[in-house]
Amino acid sequence: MTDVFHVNNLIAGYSQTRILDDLTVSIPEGKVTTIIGPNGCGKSTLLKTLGRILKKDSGDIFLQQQNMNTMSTRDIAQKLAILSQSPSGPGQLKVSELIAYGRYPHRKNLGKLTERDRQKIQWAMDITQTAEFATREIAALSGGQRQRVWLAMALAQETDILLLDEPTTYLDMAHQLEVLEIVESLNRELGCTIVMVLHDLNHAARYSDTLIAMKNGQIQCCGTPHDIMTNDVLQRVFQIDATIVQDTDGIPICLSYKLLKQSTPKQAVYV
Amino acid sequence: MQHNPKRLTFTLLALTVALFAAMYLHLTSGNFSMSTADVFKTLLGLEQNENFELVIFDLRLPRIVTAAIVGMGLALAGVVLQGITKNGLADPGILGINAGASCTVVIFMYFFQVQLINVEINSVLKILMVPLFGFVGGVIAAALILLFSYGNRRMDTQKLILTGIAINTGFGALTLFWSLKMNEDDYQAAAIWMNGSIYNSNWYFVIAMLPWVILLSLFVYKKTHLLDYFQLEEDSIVSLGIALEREKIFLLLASVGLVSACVSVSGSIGFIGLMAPHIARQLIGISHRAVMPVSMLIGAVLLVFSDYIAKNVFAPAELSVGIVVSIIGIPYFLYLLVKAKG
Repeated sequence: MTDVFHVNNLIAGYSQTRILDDLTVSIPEGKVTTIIGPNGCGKSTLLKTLGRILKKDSGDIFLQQQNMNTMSTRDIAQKLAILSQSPSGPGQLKVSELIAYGRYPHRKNLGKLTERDRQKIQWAMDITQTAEFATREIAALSGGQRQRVWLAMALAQETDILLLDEPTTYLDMAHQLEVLEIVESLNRELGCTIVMVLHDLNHAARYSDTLIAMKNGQIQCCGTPHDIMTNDVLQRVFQIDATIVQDTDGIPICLSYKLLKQSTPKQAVYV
Repeated sequence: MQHNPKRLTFTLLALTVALFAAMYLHLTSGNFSMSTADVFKTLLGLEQNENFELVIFDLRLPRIVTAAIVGMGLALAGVVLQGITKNGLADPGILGINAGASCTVVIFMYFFQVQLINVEINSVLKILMVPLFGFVGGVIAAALILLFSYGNRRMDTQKLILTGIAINTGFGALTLFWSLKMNEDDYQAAAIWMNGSIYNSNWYFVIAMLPWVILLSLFVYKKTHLLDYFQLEEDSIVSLGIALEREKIFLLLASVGLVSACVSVSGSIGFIGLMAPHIARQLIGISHRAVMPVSMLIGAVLLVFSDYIAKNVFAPAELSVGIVVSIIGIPYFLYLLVKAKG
């Protein structure tokens, strides 16, 4: 199995605050990988650094065996798309226009959209079921619609790798599942590599091939949902006392949990 | 991003008509009494009266052309600044870029005794140099603004405006300091120039700034589509493979260049760069490919018309056009603030 990302001794953070400290990890190609961990553990920071939205301080990231330092941002944009945590755009922008933005890395002259551009935009709208409100302004969308539209923009980028930073936040149950089903079908049917950050452990277990558990800017452990969704790991990572059962499909579910008594809230961010 | 081509054509056409109307008003009014027929005959070369030719070709026409070009340049600078900062209050005047350019120009005037009011032939070379000096000041101002408004490796747009106001005031004080050290004649000239005036314009000024405005407009036009993408939040822009910081700096420098070229001729004229893009967006929508030409025409109309008022309202005394623009601009600016809050 080849790795889509290989991260070596990564150090990254925000101005004075170091979030990721000497982190090394590999992410498999063609799989759904979900990063889990408590708030402030550096999940989003890792995802953003993988997607070169955040500049790293040191270390190396290899994207399909190529050092990302040597790649232009446009080349990277043809290989991976990132859906950030809270994307925003001007309210008067039409849905179809926003999705067309996703074609940017493939467009040479910025005059008219080519036939291929149009096909890909249509394809992205079909998968995310956004075609029905293509002419609406993005300010006039509901939360669930908006998230699908932004996902469609990322899909229009026509990349094999998708990074999703908490794609289900602010959505209700049904809409959360809707987004995750789209993600799953992208992986199953098109072989897209998905790397995402999720808060909901059960969603993470259900929709991922690999889980990466992070704490304090370090990888605690990674493995299949069965490896990670154990009382022991969840104790170490989240300081929770969880009961793990298996659902009818054999997928581990975190049934009920309580905070460990002796745990003191730890400062996740250290300088 | 798409825009309605029919609506754009109509808007551009209407604005061109407005521009010609303003030019017509400007050209046919003034202290020197000429009939409209005389004006047109002289323009077309049918009338060979030397006085008429002097008034039209050496006095009125360069002034109108200057007003139109400066209006376009400042409006375009405003479009770019508002685009890259995602802030509707960004304007070269407010951000202190005008002030920075003015300051170095005044220092230049002080050392080289260039009077941008009474031009002699031997000072033509110096006049052509002025935009370069203005550019240095503009870049210093822009660099300072960037330096102080970067937080967390990102440009903080709130900080940007506040920093801009501080830089503006600082350069204003510095300019005043240098102008007070000047001899009386130079000071007079500098004072009039600083308030923003084009009544003394001549073809040399036009030559000094036109290449800059044309080249930088073409440069910006090639990059206008980026301004559309810049309206997304930064993570998405980077994700699309746009070299965000680099493109921002290129565009910022282009707008500094535009402002410097304009300021070196007209002095500091505020509000055009603020108003023109806002009006344009209301007319044509948010696609920058459409906003850019529309804003430029609006800027030209505004400035030619303001200069017409500056020339005539207290005739034979002249008001500086910067003041007229401010009188029109301040209520609009306040309106924007109120609207933004509501």
